[in-house]
This record gives sequence, structure tokens and C-alpha cells, in this order.
Amino acid sequence: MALTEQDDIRKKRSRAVKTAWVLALVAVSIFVAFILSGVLAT
Amino acid sequence: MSIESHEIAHDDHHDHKPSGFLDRWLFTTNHKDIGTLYLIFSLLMFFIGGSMAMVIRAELFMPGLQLVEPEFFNQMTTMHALIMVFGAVMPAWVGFANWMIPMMIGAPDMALPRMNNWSFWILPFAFTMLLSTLFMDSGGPAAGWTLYPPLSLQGGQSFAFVVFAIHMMGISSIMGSINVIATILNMRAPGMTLLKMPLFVWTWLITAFLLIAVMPVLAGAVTMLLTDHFFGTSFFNAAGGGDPVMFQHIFWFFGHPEVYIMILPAFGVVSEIIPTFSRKPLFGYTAMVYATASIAFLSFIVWAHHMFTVGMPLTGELFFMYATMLIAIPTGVKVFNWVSTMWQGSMTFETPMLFAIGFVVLFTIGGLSGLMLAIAAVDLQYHDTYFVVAHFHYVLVPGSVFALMAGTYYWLPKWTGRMYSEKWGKIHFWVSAISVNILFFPQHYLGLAGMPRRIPDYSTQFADFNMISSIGGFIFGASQLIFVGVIVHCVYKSKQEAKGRVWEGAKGLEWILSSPPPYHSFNTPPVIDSTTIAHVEEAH
Repeated sequence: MALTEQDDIRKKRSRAVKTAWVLALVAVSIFVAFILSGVLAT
Repeated sequence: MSIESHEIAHDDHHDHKPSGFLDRWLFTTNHKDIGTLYLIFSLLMFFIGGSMAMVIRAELFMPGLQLVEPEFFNQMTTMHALIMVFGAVMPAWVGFANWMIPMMIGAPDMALPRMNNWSFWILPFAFTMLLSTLFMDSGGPAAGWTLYPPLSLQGGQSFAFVVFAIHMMGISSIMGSINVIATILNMRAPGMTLLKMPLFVWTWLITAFLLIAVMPVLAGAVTMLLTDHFFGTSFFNAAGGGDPVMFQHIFWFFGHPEVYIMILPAFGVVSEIIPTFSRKPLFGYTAMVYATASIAFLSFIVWAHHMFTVGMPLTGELFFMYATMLIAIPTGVKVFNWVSTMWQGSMTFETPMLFAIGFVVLFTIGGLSGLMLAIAAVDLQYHDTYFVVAHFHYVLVPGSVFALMAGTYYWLPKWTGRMYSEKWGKIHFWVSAISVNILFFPQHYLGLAGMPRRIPDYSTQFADFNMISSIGGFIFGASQLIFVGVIVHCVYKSKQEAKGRVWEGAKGLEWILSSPPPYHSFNTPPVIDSTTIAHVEEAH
């Protein structure tokens, strides 16, 4: 495989990791928001 | 250029497959191996959940208490649902996603392979923990899969295991979804724009966003149940100032999109199969994408149609009623487009196509009974009756499960490199299609006559339809052994080798690979042209 292709895959994986962190943050925020909504309501 | 000349040969010498059993399966980061693990796991869960359904139908074969104690019956209905939803259907779709998405978008693997391994391997522990509650003193969960308080809070110590198991399933689903989104958004081959992606990839992308949005909601709900049960909080305890109806709102904010999580990938698979066996491009590809997105959006604003009977303001009932009815429009677009794809096509009826057509017809029956349930005034009569059971089983069994079977028959030759027995596949379809209707259609009448769901005994007026339903259930359950037989025969005994492009009318990147595909596929990105794009009208 040419070096440029390896670089390309490496870049893609790096972007994918960033996407994953953003999505994980969204998921955790929703979880915390729902718990907090219950806590604040009571 | 012909599809065949594109075909990328399978080269065993460069597979780099791990040699040891543990290395290959426990520590694997390969999307195909992990897909296989998901599919085997979900098949096992399908049979465990199915055997619970057999207990339920055996008990309901005749009026009176026959075989099991009422408490155990309630555990069976609850566990059957939890296992089928979280253990069978959802992991099966994740298995399909793992196998097919990288190959369909021209990626070498999923974007986050190690997380992929972890997503799968926490599932067996979650379900072992869930099933272990059946052997505990306080028994398994018995309040229904909806876990409504205060009933669910009256369970014993095993409830903590149930909550922990649900958390683990949720974490697995969220990690799987993150992987799917990260893969589709970042790993597509050059030229594979979003609107050139196969519809199965589109439906999974939207499903993954739904999962990330709603699984944390379920996690929040069961965490609050846990603290109510064990730590003296009163989120849902009216005596302490809480609100049990609030749980229903939170649960169904998760629960309704969950229904679409189980059905959207089914739409995707059917949208792959019907064009192949009609030898025509999918009618209205772009409309199908927008319809899928519309269904996903609407799924967030209809949750309270599950709880019309709790008593809510008339404006609320009207909003949720009309919002629910709106879903019929994008769903109707899909059914119309599948039928239009078949119209004047050179159709053949191999097993995947039979299951896909069975899906279109029978899922539509489930959709129409859903429309009936959406009418608030009518729902007051139907709520918690067998009509609801008939409705969602039509959506999930000849809906989701038939699509899973269609997809399995469609891609099994690609996965294994061998053809399955078409004769036994067709026998499997016809026995399943007939028995599933004997099983679930009479339940509409039972519901309309007023038979409540989740009861082990019933009035004698319901006896005949229950007996018919149970007979259908036993035949349907037994007929799934044919499915296993066909798969085992295909993997270990079949002598007929599959070509790269297994089906004459199939288009898409997965078909330019050999069957079975190389262990590592598309290390070099494939060329995207009119012969490799499945569904874009201009390409044909």
C-alpha cells in the first residue's frame, strides 16, 4: 500500500476518534440531564 | 467495466487471520468476525427468548392454570420481551452493520475496531446476569419489559442485577452506534458521497443517531428506579412526592424510538433485496432517505400514544394522536416505493425475495393496526389488550425478524462462500409465513373481545382463538429449526460455491469482493462508478 494511502487511513481514523468523543459526550450529557431533571423536579 | 472484472480475489496467503481460537474470537478486532459473533449471539438469544414464548403459549393453550405459576408466567413475559428486544433483534442488526457497512462503503474495517470488540463482549455478561435472576430467590423481573413503577419496585434483590444488565446492554448499544456513525462519516471510499450510499447504510446511520439519543434516557430511567428501590429516593414514588406517571413519559421517550431502532435497518435490508430480485434500481432512492429521516424525527414526538389511558389534557391527546398518524405518510412512501420497484421488474422469487415480500405485506398489517391504536378514543378500548400484542408482534416478527432472515439468506453466500439450500430456504419461508399468521392474527380478535395481555388465565370465551394462536406458535417455533439447519448445512456441508456477485441483479461494493470476502477487504479504496453504486438512478 502506498504511503499516502496509509496516511489517508490514519487521518480518517483520527477524525473518527474525534467524532466518537463528541458522540460519547452527547450520550453522557443526555444521561446526566435526565437524572438531573428528576432530581430537580423532586 | 463488468462487475466480474472488478472482482477482488480472495487470497488466503495474505489474510493474516489470527490462528488461535481465543485470538481469533475473543480478541478479534475484525469487523467480519465481530459481525459473526453478534449474529451467533443473537440467534442463541432468539432461541432462548423463543423458548420463553413457547412456555407462554403452552400456558395459554387452554383456560385455567396449566403448567406454571402466575408469578413465573409474569417473569416469562418480561424476560421474553427483554431478551428478544435487547438480546436478539438489536444485536442481530449490529451484526449486520458490522459485516456489511465497511464493505458497502469501501472501508477496510469499522473506524474503532477495539471498541467494536468491547461492544460485543460485554453483551454475553449482561445477558448471563439478566438470565441469572431467574434462579435467584426473588426471581426474575416480572413487571413487564416496561418496568413500570410501583410494580417493578416490588421486586426483590434481583432487581439490581436487572438494572445493571440493562446498563451494560445500553453501553454496548451506544458504543456500537458511535462506531457506526464514526465509520460512515469518516471511512467512506473517495467518491462515495452520502447520497450514493446503499440504503442499508443510510438506515443504520439514522438508527445509530436514534440509539445515542435514547439509550441514555433508558439508563437514566432505570438508574432512578434503582435508587428508588434501594436508596430511599422518591423519583417515582407518589408517597414520597414522586410521580409514577413521569416514569412512563421517560420510558416511552426511549421506548418509541426503540421500535424504530428495530425496524429502520429492516427497511434498509428490504430496500437492498427488492431491487436485486426485481432487476431494477430502487424506486425513489432520495425519497426513501428522507422518509427514513422523517420517521426517525417523528418517533421522538409520539411517545405518549403508549399512555393515553393515564389521563392527559385533550390537547395533549390530540397532539400525540395526529403526530402518530403522521408517521403513516413516510411509511406509506416506503411501501409505495417498494411496490413501485417491483412494478414491471423481471422478478424472481428466491428465498430472500420471499421474505422481503412477506415483510412488506405483513409489516403493513402491523402498521395499519398501529394506526388504529393511534386514535386516542379507540385506544381507550384497546389499551393493554391482546390487540396491542398482535399489533407489535406483526411489526416485530414478520417485520423485523423476517427482514433479518431475508438479509441472512441474501448475504449468507457472500459471508460463507457457499450457496444455501434454496429448497429448504423456501420451505422455511412458507412454514414461517403461514404459522406466524396463525399465531398472531387471532390475537387481534382476542384483543377486540377484551382479553387483557400479561395474564396466565382467561375467560372461557377466549379459549378457541388462544388454542389456534398457540398451535401457530408451536409450528412457528419449530420451523425456526429449519433456519438453523439451512445455515449449518450452508457453512459445513454445501458443495455449491458462491460467485463474488451472488445474485444476478445485485449492485453495490460488497458484490465486487470475492465470496467469502478477504479477511481484510478494501485496504485500497475501491473505484466508485456506475457499476458499483447500488441505488442512484442516474447511475443506471
